[in-house]
Amino acid sequence: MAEKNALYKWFDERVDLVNLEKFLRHKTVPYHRHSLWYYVGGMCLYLFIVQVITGILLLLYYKPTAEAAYESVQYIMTEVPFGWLIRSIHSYAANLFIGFVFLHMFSVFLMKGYRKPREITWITGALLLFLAMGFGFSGYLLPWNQLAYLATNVGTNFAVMVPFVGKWVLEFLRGGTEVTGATLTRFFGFHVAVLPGIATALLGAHLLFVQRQGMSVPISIEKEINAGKAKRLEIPFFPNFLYRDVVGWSLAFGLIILLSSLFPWELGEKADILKPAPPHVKPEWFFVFMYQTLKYVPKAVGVFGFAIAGGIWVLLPFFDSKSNRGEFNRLYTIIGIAAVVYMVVFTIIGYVAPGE
Amino acid sequence: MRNLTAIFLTILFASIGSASARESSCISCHLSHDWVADTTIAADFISGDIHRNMGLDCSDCHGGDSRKGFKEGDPELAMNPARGYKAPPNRAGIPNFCARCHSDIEYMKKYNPKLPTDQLKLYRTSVHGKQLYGKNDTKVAVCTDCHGIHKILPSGDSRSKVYHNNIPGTCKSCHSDPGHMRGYKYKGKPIPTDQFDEYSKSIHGILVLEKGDNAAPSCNNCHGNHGATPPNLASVSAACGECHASNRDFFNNSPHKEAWKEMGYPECEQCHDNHYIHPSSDEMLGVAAGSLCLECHDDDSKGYMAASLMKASIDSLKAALEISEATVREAEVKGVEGGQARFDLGAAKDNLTRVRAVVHTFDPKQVTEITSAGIKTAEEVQLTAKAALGDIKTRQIGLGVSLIFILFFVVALLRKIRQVDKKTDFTVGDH
Amino acid sequence: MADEKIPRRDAINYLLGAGIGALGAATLYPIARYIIPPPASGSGTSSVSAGKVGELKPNEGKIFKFGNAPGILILKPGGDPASALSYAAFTAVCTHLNCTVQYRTDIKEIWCACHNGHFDLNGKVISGPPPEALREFRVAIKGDEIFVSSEEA
Ligand code: HEM
Ligand code: FES
Repeated sequence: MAEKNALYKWFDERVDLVNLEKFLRHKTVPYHRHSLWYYVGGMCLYLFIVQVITGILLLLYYKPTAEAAYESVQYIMTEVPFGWLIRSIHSYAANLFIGFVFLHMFSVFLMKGYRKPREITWITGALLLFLAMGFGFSGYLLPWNQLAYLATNVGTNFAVMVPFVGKWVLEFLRGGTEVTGATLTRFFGFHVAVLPGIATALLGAHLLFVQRQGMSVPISIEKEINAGKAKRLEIPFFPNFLYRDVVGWSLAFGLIILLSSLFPWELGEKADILKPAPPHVKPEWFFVFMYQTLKYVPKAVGVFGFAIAGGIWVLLPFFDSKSNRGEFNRLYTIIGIAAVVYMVVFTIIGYVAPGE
Repeated sequence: MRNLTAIFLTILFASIGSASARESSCISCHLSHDWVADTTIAADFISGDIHRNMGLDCSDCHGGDSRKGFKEGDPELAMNPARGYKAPPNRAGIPNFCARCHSDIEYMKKYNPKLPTDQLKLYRTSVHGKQLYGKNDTKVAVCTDCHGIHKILPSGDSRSKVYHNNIPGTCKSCHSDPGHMRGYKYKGKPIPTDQFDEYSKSIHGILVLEKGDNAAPSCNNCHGNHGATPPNLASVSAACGECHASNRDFFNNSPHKEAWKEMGYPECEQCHDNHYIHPSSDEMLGVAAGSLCLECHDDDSKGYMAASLMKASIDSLKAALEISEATVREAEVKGVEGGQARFDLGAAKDNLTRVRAVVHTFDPKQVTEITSAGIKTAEEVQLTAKAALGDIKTRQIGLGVSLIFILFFVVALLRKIRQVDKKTDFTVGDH
Repeated sequence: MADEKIPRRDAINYLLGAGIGALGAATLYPIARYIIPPPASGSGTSSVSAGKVGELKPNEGKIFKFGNAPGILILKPGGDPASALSYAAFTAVCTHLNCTVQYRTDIKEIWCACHNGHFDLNGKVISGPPPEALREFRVAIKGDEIFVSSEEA
């Protein structure tokens, strides 16, 4: 930006753009052979924003009642110009978002990015993962089609496993004892108000910490640098890093519109509460590994196990004292890889294994 | 002679208050075990009998003086032959007993101007009446068998044995009893006793007996009620035609009408049967095994060709509808079709319903006219649904343009990155 | 000569600017089109526009789309086209076997061609096989648009 134009000056006089620019120029991101993973979090952020924008657009025509939901989505898909595109983008980007959040989490895990002093970044991130799954679960029901209706039935049913207050939690989720129009309205509220509110707050905290602390460098790289085997390199966030981010975002956007145009997201059949459930109801793909696991272990044990595991996962930085001391912790790397393998394998089994 | 005073009093009392509140010495005694062993007659009469509700009293049918007797403790004062008291009629006398009033137009008008007064006349023409009066056979139905004796309810009351939906059960009580029906013959053959069972399997029976639909026919719609007889050939189809009017009209203008008449075949019944109206199917038509056409039409006759042609055209309409429906469904599930196709498909489906009526013309030309119209619509609908599925070109053009834009942008950005990277020193501490 | 004057850096900036512009337009166009409501009167089947005032003359009827099923709108004989009271609207699905009924100007009745079912202008069965009356819709006029709603009148 050689010649600052009038507009720049106008703003500069008011909000001190020069300072901001200086700040951006001084922000850097470590540059080494694993730095590709640093772009994944940004991708999550981008997809989150895509969801917010397309979600708001869908709200213009969507009607959250059992009588009108399916019809309104059908209307969006067939009558509103580019409605099919907006809805398909929202659906594909949602799945991509969750996929990237997982990827982000595991890459951070394997690079031990959670280690001291980034515990809070990890915790807010882990909570964001649960929120993302909540977004997926609540959004899935909104078109009020048969598949989603059945999946929601099965999914919410796990709530009764919660000790002591299970029945209450179930009714809280369903807005009654059964999945009905009341559930739809409730899920709508979760999906467009409760979850976005919490997510924005958590995301703000998450990004604030990332910003304050900068990105961590993996222990292995750190060691190489300390041993003098590698040089410490950094890439300026602006513009070098951000430009690379934008390349990724553009490619992701291309992929999303490609899928949306060639394979518009399906609508399915309208939910019919009276229709008997087909034998093999599957939840959305990111729940399948849990769903499949629950087929092999007693349900109560399984649900309890996942709750414990989830809790430990959130608080993980506090357990890995070795990494916190800056030493390489092979055990945790193995745990991380095992977790990924477990989830991938059980997801695949869930899709290829014949139903019970 | 009817007691004019009674009528006067009746009307007077009816206008003052509830008719059943009237004092009647007949009822007072007949309700009391001090006087009679069986109190049901009076109890029945005061619990909803239409005559009682209309303000009539025992003496209006039985004669005597209903105001006297109870207080005096002397039944003879009430059941006084001098005041017109007559002993109750025997079975054979019942129709005439009821007809004293029910055949009197002037009298009946006062109570129910809509009620016919020809019941006895009709009864005499019925098989029941002929048996009773011609052969002194008292096993046949008389008025009270269907209507009850002292608790007679109007036919519109759903508790009545002659309420539309109760009639099959009422007829059944004799006609399904082999013991009762033994010895009776129709056209030289014993009268069967399976009519009720057959009827209850038929669509009409199911509607009347199970669904409580009183628009569907009951026994009397074909056989008549007071004039109950086996209907003759023409009158059955007339009864069917009352509701199935268009089928009747189609049939009446068809070549079968005259031909079947000559051969002494019934009309509707010939294919659809009578008490057990079979659920009709398209397989009744055509030249495959099970087709009814083959019962008369030999291979390669004109009728055979017509049957084959009509069946084929209906089959192709059904096939077209099925394919179209499947495509529309797929389009809906995929979310590319929002109802217009289904709406249009409805019009094509109308053709199938219509042609199933028009087959009764037995005219391949009229049949194929409707089926081809239906096939045409179905195909058009399928094409639009397919177009929606195969996806509108504009989507792909838009996609292509957008992808080119993205690619262009990314390439430009990559060059920009290379450019800014060149000027950047990545080693720490140099910024 | 332009090549020499404009440095490479500016060329890339122009390219980049063009790319942003094109991409922005390609993104904003669908969004703008999406935001403008389509002419069809919204989703949901509880009320639809069945036609315009003046479209029907007295003693005329038309079929309109009500959800995915047909409805029939009739301007009664001698009725004032501007008054909602002059119209009658029903589901056009025959209660017998679901054929679409039509208005017969000659006999001033609703008629089903499939089996000759007749309905009066209250939807009641006059003759033929239909077992039940046609369900009636409520009619209201807003501006010059005739709205039909399935809510109880
Ligand atoms: C809504 C979903 C999320 C968004 C939008 C998001 C966004 C980001 C961004 C932009 C960064 C900086 C760039 C990067 O390291 O990739 C980041 C860093 C980080 N995120 Fe997330 N994140 C999300 C979910 C998660 C989850 C699920 C976790 C783990 C449970 C997590 C843990 C972390 C950690 C520990 C860092 C710091 C990494 C480091 O300093 O090396 N985040 N996040
Ligand atoms: S479908 Fe309308 S009369 Fe049969």
